[in-house]
Amino acid sequence: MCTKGILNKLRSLQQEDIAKIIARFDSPDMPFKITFSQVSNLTDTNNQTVYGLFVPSQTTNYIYDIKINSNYNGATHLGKAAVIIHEILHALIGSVIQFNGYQNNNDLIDFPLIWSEYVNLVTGGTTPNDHDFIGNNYVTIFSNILKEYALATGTSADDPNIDQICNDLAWAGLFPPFSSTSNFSSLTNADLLRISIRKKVEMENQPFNLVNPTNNLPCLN
Amino acid sequence: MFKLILIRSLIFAFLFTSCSSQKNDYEALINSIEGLKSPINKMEDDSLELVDHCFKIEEVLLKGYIYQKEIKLNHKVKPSYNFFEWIDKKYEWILTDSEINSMIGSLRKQKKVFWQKQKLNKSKKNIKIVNYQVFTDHVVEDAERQRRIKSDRFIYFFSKPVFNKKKDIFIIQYEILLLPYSKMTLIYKKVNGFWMQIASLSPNW
Repeated sequence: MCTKGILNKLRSLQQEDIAKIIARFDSPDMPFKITFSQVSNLTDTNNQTVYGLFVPSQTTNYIYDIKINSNYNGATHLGKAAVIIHEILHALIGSVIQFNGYQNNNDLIDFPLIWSEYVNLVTGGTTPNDHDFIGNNYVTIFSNILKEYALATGTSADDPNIDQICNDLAWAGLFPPFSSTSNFSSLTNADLLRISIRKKVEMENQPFNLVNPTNNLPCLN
Repeated sequence: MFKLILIRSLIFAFLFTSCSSQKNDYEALINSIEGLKSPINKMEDDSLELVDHCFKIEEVLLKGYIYQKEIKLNHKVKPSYNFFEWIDKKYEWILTDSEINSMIGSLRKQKKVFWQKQKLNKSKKNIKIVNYQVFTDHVVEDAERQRRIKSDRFIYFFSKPVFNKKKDIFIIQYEILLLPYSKMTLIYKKVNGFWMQIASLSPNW
């Protein structure tokens, strides 16, 4: 299973942030349970096709489902790894929010930025949406994880644009690409367009608007 | 004689409500179009190409509104898809479940509508009505896309708006042809006689 292979590879990365996140969800001492499932025709509430979704149980704490759209089996390894990391970050945020009061809770030390958002939530403040939060705090970490994944697996690691590609895939999915306003002032209009196209070509593994996908094997299942 | 009067009254009532409903649709469309900027460079544009008919909003969107509202109001952990973003907190989740259910009911009765150019004359933008074109030839589609990205001019495909019972709130969707991840949802409310955008729902991708 290609998707499972990517997940296992992410588990073995040395980059401190991903190691800490994966350890959190893998540890038998922790209450979290994440399942990964492949679902065809996955859509959001806008009825628009999505590549992946994080769905927390609405009845039981700590139970999360990460759904991957099986219509995109055939995406590049890099594209699919980006989807998985994106959804794992949502799970991380959700888990910190739910974890308060649990024994041996080091979240304040391990994930202080998310913790402060949680405090904001319980005190009735306005929390940013997850995508704004990830965009403001986790893009560099995300990009570094993806780069290490590329280097560790030899996945397009020799591509001269690998840094830019990893950075673009880290941004992908965090903003509405073509709305009249942008949530992130650091991104230019050209950035928004390039990032949107990069995600599409990696997930469909086909050229789009003269941009080619990275040259690595399709992730077929 | 009585029957004749009754039939005439019914016909008149039907035409009146139908015209009134059409007037609302055009008003909603024009207001939604006014705020649009070009999708790539976010420039003000004084003209716009519009697909000649409207699509129907899916029920799942309105059911999703109720689901999102329940999660937000109960401070539950959110799924990763985008939630409705409210421009002004005082209008947050303003539509009640019963209003949403009534809107779902009206969606079920909706019929396909073609926009008429002369009824869009009140718009400040010069609106050009175009035939909906499906690009089945990828070469043509790619060339057209590149041309449009370069000029930052696209064709907009709007839904028929769906109103609450009081007709003071509507939901409308649009997508930009040839651009991926472009389907937006907007909610408007009439405030002091003017339509004001109060929320948007961005595509998740």
